[in-house]
Amino acid sequence: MKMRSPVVAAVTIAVGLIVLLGYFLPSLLVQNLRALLINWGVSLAGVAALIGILNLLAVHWRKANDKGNRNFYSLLLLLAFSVTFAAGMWLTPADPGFQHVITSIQIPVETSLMALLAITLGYAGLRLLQRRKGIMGILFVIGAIVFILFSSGFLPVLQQLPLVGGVASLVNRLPVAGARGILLGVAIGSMMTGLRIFLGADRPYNG
Amino acid sequence: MQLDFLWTLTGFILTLLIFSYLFGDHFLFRIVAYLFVGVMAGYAAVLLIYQAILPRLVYPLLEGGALQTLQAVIPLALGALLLTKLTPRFSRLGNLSMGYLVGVGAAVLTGGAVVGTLTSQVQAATVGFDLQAAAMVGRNPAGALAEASLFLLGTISALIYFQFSVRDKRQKAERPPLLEAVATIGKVFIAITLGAIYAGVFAAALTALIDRLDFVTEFIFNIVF
Amino acid sequence: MDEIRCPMCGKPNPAIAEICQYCQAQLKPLGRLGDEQPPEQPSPDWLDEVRSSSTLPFDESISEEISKPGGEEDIPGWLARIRQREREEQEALQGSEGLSFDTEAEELPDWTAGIIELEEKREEASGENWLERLRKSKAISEPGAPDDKLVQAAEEETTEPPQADEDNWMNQLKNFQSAEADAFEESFSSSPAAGQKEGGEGAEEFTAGAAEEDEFSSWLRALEEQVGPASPSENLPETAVSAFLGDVDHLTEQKLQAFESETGGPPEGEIPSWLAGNSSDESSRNAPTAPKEGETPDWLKAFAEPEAGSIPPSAPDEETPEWLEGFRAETLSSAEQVPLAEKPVWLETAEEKSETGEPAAGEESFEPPDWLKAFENLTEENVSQIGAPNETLPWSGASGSEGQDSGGGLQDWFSQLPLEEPGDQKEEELPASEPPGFGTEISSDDLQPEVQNLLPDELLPALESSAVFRIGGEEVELPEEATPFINQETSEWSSPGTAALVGAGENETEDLTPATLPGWLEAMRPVEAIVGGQAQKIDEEQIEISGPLAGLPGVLPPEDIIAQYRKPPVYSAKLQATERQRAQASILEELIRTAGKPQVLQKENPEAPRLLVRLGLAVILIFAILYPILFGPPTTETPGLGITTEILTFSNQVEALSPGQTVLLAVDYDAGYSGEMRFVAKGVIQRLIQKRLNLALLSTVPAGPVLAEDMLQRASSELLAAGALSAPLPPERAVNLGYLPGGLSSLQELALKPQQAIRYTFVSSYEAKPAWEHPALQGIAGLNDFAAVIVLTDSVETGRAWIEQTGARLSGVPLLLVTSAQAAPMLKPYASSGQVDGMLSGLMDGMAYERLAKTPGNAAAYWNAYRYGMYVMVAFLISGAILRTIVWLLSRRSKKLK
Repeated sequence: MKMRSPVVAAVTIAVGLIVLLGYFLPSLLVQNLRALLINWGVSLAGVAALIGILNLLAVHWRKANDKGNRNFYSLLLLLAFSVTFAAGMWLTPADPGFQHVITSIQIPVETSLMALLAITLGYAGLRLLQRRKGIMGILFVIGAIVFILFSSGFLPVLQQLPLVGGVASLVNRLPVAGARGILLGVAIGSMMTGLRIFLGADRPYNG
Repeated sequence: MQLDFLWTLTGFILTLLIFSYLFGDHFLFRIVAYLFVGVMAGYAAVLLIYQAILPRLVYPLLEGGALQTLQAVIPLALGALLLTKLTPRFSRLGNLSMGYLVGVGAAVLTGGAVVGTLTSQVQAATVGFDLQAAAMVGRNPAGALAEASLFLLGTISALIYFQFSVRDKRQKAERPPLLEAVATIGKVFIAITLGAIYAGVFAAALTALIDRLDFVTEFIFNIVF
Repeated sequence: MDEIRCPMCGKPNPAIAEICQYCQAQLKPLGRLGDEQPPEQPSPDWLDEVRSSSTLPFDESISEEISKPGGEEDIPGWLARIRQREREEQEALQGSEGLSFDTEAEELPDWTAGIIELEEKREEASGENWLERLRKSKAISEPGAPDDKLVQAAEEETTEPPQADEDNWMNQLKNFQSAEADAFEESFSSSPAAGQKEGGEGAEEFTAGAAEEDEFSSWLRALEEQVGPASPSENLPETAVSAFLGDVDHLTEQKLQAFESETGGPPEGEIPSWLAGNSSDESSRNAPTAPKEGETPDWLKAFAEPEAGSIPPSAPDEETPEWLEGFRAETLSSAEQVPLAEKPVWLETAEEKSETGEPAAGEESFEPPDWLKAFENLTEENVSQIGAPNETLPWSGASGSEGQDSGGGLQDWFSQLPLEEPGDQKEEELPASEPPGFGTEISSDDLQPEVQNLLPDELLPALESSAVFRIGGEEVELPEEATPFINQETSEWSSPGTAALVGAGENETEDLTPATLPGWLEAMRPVEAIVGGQAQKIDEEQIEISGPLAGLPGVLPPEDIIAQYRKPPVYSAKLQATERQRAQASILEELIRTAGKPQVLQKENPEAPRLLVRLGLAVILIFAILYPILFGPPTTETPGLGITTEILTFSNQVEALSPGQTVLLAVDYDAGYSGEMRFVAKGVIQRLIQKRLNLALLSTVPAGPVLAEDMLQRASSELLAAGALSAPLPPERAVNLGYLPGGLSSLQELALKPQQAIRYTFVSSYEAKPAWEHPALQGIAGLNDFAAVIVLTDSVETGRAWIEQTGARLSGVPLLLVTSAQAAPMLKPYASSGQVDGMLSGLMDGMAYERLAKTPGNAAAYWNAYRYGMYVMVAFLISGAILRTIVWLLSRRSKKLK
């Protein structure tokens, strides 16, 4: 059975409009239908995440079995997955022993990578003006310095000062304006993206 | 206890191997990276099966009533169609499921943006002009007004900096001079905001570094002493 | 073989042709008719056969003339004999009666005037001259008793051997024509000079043929005896006869032209000169001699005594000239329709005989020529399909006795000639290059007796073929054998000229079925006859009437060409390219130009300094962090660690919670931020535990459930270690609800129907327990049933998702955020807008809350490490700015120095 694009687009638009209407219409029927559709969507999202993992395995499987250019690391990945998956299916995710996968492997690795980020950011800060020239670069560096100082305990000290305190407080709150503008822009962009999908202008599902 | 020690040792070794990246990329770092991805993929697969597939698609069919069974058939069918995405030959069969996901996600995203951000943030941008409320908290009305104006200017200019239009490739993107001037002001506010974000990222990374160094030192002390 | 190139289409044509076989254009100017010498053509085989089988007297002079290689063009023997006979007759007449055949001195009879006039207008010469000679011969027989002379000539014809007879009657016919022409020219002043000249040449021919006058006179006398003495009343007025003959001539001319146009004309070298064109030179050169005195021409004999079946069949392989076929068919079919004012006696006699089928009175002794006899024997059974609708009959050799007994038949078909007006040619309706249906099937009509009487006896068997000729516009099938030319070089005869002659007759027939060519003939047809398609229909309107091309048909109208002419479009030599194409072309040009050039590699700093700098920075930073932790004085002071408004608000919200309430704790941060979140959220969790609140742990990230349990366990253990907790946290006070897939969609579902979103706790599947039966979730039906919702997140997107999806559903339930320092700037607008009731961000806020909540923790140590690390970062940024400034100043100075 071939899923024609108009049918898929119709389903997409219909489902999306029903869910969107539930935000604004207090009708019980709409709310129930919306909850049902979202429930199916959540279940489908779980399947989609599992398919993503399967795709990852397929890619590395091809790399590991490529006779011309066999990738050892892909084989290692597949081995780690197999062991972890087998242990997890046997022990279940709630098992404290299985949870060491997170606490003893994922946390140290990811946290260490985050720690390296600090050193990298320090090195990047040293060469910041070399890459970002102009008034925007200078402004960025100045803002970073100010807010790092504010975050390192200088702000409470400055706030104690009669005149500087107010300015410091104002400066400390100044990013809110820019952040609010950014949030509004993101929200408008999200709304436009959704409308384009509802109007059928964008069809990212036609793969 | 020994098992815990082994796990702790594993963490310690992994931490050091990750830190070894400071000296450059090497095969040990890649081994750790690939192992990490494989382990995380396995854990995620187990978690999805136990937390999403079984309770939502399998248990209702086995234990649930007719209504629950009926409610589980459709997502089960959609999920089966979605599995066809793994094969290029039959991938088009999964377009329906993908479309369903896109439709639901777009609606949730759009509704949340409108209800949760647009209305409230626009309202928040103007709340500062309530001088009475400012006076009630002991603030100088003039200062409050100036601050509100400044924040409003920053919000609008930052929003104008983002241009929402279809770009004509044949023509260079140009705006009227007034909008261009306002966008420049918004660029300043955005730069300030990005500086604050940079400081926050560094703070978070620094905190992570502190945590790792504390772990390492604690482990060493526990081993040595 | 010499050829003439058509000036219009450029195709080769026989030298003797005056009209192009393909496009019907005039090959030679009208004013120059007769100037060109016809090319010498070899004698075709059929002609030799005709000569060999001919019984007519053969003029030796003519035969020599014909057989002369490289001499004059070969003419058929029968034609030669006709000319010879004509000459003889002319000579005889001139000598006996003192007739002067000088056209200028003698007045031509009226009835022959029309012949000359039409002849002048005709374009095709073949087939005409014989009629011209016939007219002349007839003129010789007049004014006294032309019929007598014809009869005498016919009688003389009968006494001669068949071949001789064939030659005689042809010569007689020619002489008759020439004599008529000469006589007409004086009476009709409208005759153009060409015609007069032609008539004069014809007179010369007649004179040359006067030697045969006796022969002609003899058969003419015989004819006269048959038809009776010519009474004055029977002497047709000159005008009527002339008109009749003129029409005949014109008709013959047209038919011949049509036939030639359709068949392509006779092959080169095979067209007798007297048949080809109006060349008087040809006619003078090849004019048949007049019939000898006392000898009745066979053709005239045929007119006198047409005898059915007396026409001997012609040789099987002999062909009948197509032009004559068409002429005969035309004449025989329309003879009855021709309004004749007055007919000559001899013609009437022939008609009478044809009607009765018996020889007329006085004509018993008159035997039609063989070729005419052949026509008599034509019946429907004898007729078979032939190619050319009009095939010429063997004039001489094909028939034994040429019309010796067909004197009456001659009259018949003469009388049956339709009156055609000048210019009534319908050649345009015929395909120029297509043979006139040679071999095509046509409706077989019975040959009229007149036709049969006209045919020589020997022609009849030859008519077994499908030769077709037209009688009065009706196509009549002739036996194939009757046309000796069928099997021999028929394609050459299939000329447009002959086709035109046939077409003229075809147009008059409306019930003719298209003839089909036999396969063997089809293969012999010229390509032009097939591919050329329809012959150019010569529109009468397209006949040029002025200028050097006057009279030529098919001339392209200059007016139309000029009107249709358009200035040719001027195409610019410049390359027409659009802007996009030019841009792409420039890009391609740039790529090509740069492809050959080696890229200039940017001079990069060596890897060692970069590594050293990085290591140095790492050492500095690590030292700044480790020093307070390892070597710092033990203190609990945290200078600079201030309590902000947000921290107070958050603390107030937590303190407002009552023991026993359930707080939804969303652990939505990644494992990489667990180190930071440990410092930020530990104090909050410890406080919640201390306040004896029930905790429902939930996560939308895969590692969240594990991280939540890990954090809960750490917080509880630290409280126990610090003595702030008497007992570990009981399991009934905390429930792990596990992982919610779907991101935003799951949060919306949680906000709508939490019990539908969460069904089981995060425990083993073998012990799957309904989540909402846990004691910690007693009395919880929705989000609003929770005492507070505390979201632990590290990203802006997760925090925003919680705020957008669940914030609107929470009425009176505080939403608190514990975020990472990196998400704080972007989530503070939500806090300032009131959507978030409290927010802690980063290590500083977390330590400040620990300080405020008085939870146990080594905050001072980590606070100093944090501060020192931040100072090092500030130092890095300032150092980088200073270094960059120094480098810029130095570079600027160096530029100034340069």
